[in-house]
Amino acid sequence: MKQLIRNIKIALVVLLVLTIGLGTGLVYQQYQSQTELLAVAGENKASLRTRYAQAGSIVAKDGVVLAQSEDGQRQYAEDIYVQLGTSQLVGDYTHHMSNTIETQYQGEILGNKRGITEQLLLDLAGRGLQGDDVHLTIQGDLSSLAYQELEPYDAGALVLMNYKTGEILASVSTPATEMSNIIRYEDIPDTALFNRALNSAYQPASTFKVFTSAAWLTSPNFQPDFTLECSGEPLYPGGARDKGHGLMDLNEAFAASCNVYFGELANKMGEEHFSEFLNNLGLDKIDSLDRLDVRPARYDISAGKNDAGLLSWAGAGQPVGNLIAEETPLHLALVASAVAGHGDYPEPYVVEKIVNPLQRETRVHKADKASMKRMFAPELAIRLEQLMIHGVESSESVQYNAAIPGVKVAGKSGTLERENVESYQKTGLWMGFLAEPNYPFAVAVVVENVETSSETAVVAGRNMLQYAMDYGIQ
Amino acid sequence: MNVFEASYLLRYLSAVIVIVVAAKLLYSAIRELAWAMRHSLRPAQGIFLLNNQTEGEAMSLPLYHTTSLGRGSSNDIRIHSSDVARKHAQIYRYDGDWYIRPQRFSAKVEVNGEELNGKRKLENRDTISLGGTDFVFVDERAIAKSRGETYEEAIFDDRAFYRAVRRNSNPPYLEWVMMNLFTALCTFLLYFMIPKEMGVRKDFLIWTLGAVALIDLYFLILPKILLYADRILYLTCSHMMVIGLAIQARLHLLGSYAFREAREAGEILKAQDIAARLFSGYRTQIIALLIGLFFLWIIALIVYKTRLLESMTLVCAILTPLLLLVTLILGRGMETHGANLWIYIGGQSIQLTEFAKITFLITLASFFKNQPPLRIQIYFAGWAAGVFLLYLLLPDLGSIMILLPVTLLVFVVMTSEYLKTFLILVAASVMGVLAYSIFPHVRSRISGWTSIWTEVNDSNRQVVYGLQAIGRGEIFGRGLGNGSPGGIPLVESDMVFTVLLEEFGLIMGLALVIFLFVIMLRATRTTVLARDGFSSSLGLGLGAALFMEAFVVIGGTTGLIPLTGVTLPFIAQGGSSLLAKCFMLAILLGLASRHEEGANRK
Ligand SMILES: [Zn+2]
Repeated sequence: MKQLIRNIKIALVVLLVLTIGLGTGLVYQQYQSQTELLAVAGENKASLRTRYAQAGSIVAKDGVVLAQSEDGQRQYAEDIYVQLGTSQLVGDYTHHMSNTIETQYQGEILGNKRGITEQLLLDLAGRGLQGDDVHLTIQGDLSSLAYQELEPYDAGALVLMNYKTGEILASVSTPATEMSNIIRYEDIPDTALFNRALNSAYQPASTFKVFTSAAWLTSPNFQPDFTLECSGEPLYPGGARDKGHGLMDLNEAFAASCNVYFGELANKMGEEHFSEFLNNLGLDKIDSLDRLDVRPARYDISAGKNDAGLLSWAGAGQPVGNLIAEETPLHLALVASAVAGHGDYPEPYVVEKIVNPLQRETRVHKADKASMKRMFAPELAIRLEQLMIHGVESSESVQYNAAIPGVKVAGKSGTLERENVESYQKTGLWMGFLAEPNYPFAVAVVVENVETSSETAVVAGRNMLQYAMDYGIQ
Repeated sequence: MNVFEASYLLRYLSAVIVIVVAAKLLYSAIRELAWAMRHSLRPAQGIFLLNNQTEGEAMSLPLYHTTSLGRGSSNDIRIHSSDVARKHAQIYRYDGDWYIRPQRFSAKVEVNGEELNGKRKLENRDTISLGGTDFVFVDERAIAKSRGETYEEAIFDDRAFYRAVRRNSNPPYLEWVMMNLFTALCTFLLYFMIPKEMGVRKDFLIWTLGAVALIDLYFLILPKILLYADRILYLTCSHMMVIGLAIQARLHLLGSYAFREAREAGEILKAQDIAARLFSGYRTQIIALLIGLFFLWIIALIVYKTRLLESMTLVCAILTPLLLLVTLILGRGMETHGANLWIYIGGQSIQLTEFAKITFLITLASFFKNQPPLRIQIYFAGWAAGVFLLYLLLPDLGSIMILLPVTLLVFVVMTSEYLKTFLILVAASVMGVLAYSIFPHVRSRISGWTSIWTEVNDSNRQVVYGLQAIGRGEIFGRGLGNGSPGGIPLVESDMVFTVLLEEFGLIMGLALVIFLFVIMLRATRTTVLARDGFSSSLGLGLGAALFMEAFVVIGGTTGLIPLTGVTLPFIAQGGSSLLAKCFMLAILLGLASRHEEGANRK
């Protein structure tokens, strides 16, 4: 009997240890699941509908509601064009797209990420179950207009931003489809869930000549009055060629986008200087827009080190062979912003503030001077701006379409030709901005599979700058 | 404010209720167990040994329900002689009679001059000799009987003792009131949360309140049915029952998109059909609970008043493998389940393995009621190996994970065979590795378990989704009805713990862990206070089984250990499980009420 009591005591100690272990394990596993398991990949889709039943709204800067929960149902922008123009950015509650506000900000939208005091205050007010509202810098009207600009073409992307503050006013990607299709996961056109504005790697084509010019202007070998007679024939075996432009200086070559001239600039400054310049741009470091992932830009022209022909193609902005140059429309818009901002560009952002159900702003984007980043030296940026303004003013260029009466428009277009595709198709690119302190807008447009040259992109970009002047909220 | 927001606010209240109830029950259970342990070395009344000392004076030596004799210091009666083995013999009570048995083959024990080679029943005035020392077995009841007198004094002592037991146990009235508050809260919220159009609000109220009323009634009349009823144990289990009712009603009756869509599409008949089907799922659970409660007092009374369980040992030993065999032959699986544990009889599915656990525990208890000699231990090992093999073939890994530790626990507590227990543990580990390499079912469970933090696949999706729900619950939960249990496989049964944590928070999880420990403590108290080895070991086994079952579920659904198809006692959906748990509770209640009188009655 004595023995039995002793054994029971030992057994109880063992069971107590087990119990405490279980309790501790429970606390630990809950903590782990909150920090480690929110990955979208392994998400329980069937639970999302109820989880979003009382979620907060996503609101555009002009007050247009982009997403909200009513009667336990998630609803998206009423206006179909606003819906299409924001679909890949705002996203769906079913999380079929993962790089979206709905997904990346689900903690706030569902009200799961609050401090204890805040939660208690909300609970006392009877609003604890509601999620926070996310206010975006996106404007519903501009998104709708941007979508309509791109709608006629197979695919494309457009980023419109304020180059002084970094606010993204519109970020549109086509093709896009209605939210109801995405939620049902039916009738979705190819690549309609892909956000080209942030994640598509486009080759920059002639827009790259802004970099070639800038690298040349900072090169030790820079000759201010360097001219060249362009016959259209390559100067090096397999090198850059074009249709022939005649006598070119930097201004005219930039306006005419002369491949031969810029190919020669690359060779004159040398691969080493050019590469160093590209590496110092910092665009490869830009890999996010708030919590959204952005495909970082990539430039690598080292393949042209011992190949003058290849290097000349690099100068022209056509990534031939092993040359690598790829960037997203967002990067392109930032380059335009940096030129417009005399070398400095702000960190881009899309989430303006997060507001809890008691209307307290829990997170507000802080824009300050310190967050400005330098891409070019000020005097260099001013020179680039002159080139880009001249490019638009020059009556021979396709960019002439970008002119807006009464305001100074600066820009650079590009056309990417792909001959190995079944049909002969081009991708048109344009980056531009208004050189007007009252209208600090920059735009980047990419239009895929167009038959004409970059004209479509230029027109869409110009229209957007015009709309921004008309509707942009300062 | 709508009812869902109200539920969200009231989560603080329900958290306070469950944690206070759990803490209070734990406090009482610890205090009473400590008291019971201090007073447990309570000799049997009117039964003792007389030792004739050399000076001619006789010394009386007390006997416990199991009294060990030998040279070792852990014996209740120590005999200092080189002829006496360290553990020499044992005197024990079983089924109201007293027996003596040598503890090893070489240990010489004589009764009235006859050498023993097995157990022998002791009668009044039997002389026991071992190692040159003589004892006389005295049974004052027999003496009284032979003189035609009644033996009163001892009964009085016994009653006095149990009055002291009662003085030292606080009737958990506050906890009972709080449990009812919790039920009222949940029922009120659910009533308004259930869509009015479903037309089941009234039925929900009637069935739920009916079940709760019966639970309450039992709580109040328990001391009238059973003399020394363990109300703390009953209340702990019944709190788990009401939590189960709330969560099952919530899972069955709230948030049906099928119903909502049918209504919105104007298909009234289809919607009614869905509502009726959903409600019948909930009603089935309540009916199982009502049946369980009905048998509760009958079984408790039988256990308390009679020795029926003891006489059923052989039946149970045969029944256990038989039930498993029937399941193995006729068993059908459920979707997403590797195991085929369901038997269908007339449209009703029954899980016989749940009842096999009880018969297993009864068999176990009767084998180890008094430190059995090696021969008996080997018999048991053979029987248990066969049973476990059947479990492995089913395969019912969950039951193995429950019964193996319980068997070892009962074995080591009743026999003090620490070395053997350790060796069995080693052997079990080897068997585990073997099972891993032989059974693909085991392998997939393990691989699903080890990969939960790195990837989501078919074998771990259940746990990952469950963990996500647990994570969403945070400390206080989202309030009853505000969780998102959709998409978690088997959410009403195997994974119910995760919904509890999502809607009632981590607090509820910890409270349930405390409830389990309280059940274990109450079972241990029964073991300590019991007047015979069988009651001791059965109480221990039942308590440990309930504890282990919940441990395996909670550990499994939270990814701490591999998930097995075990369900949370008293809470998870499943009539067989609920019924079996009520039986276990009933037996525990009956055992707790057994006392001296009961121990002697035949
Ligand atoms: Zn040219």
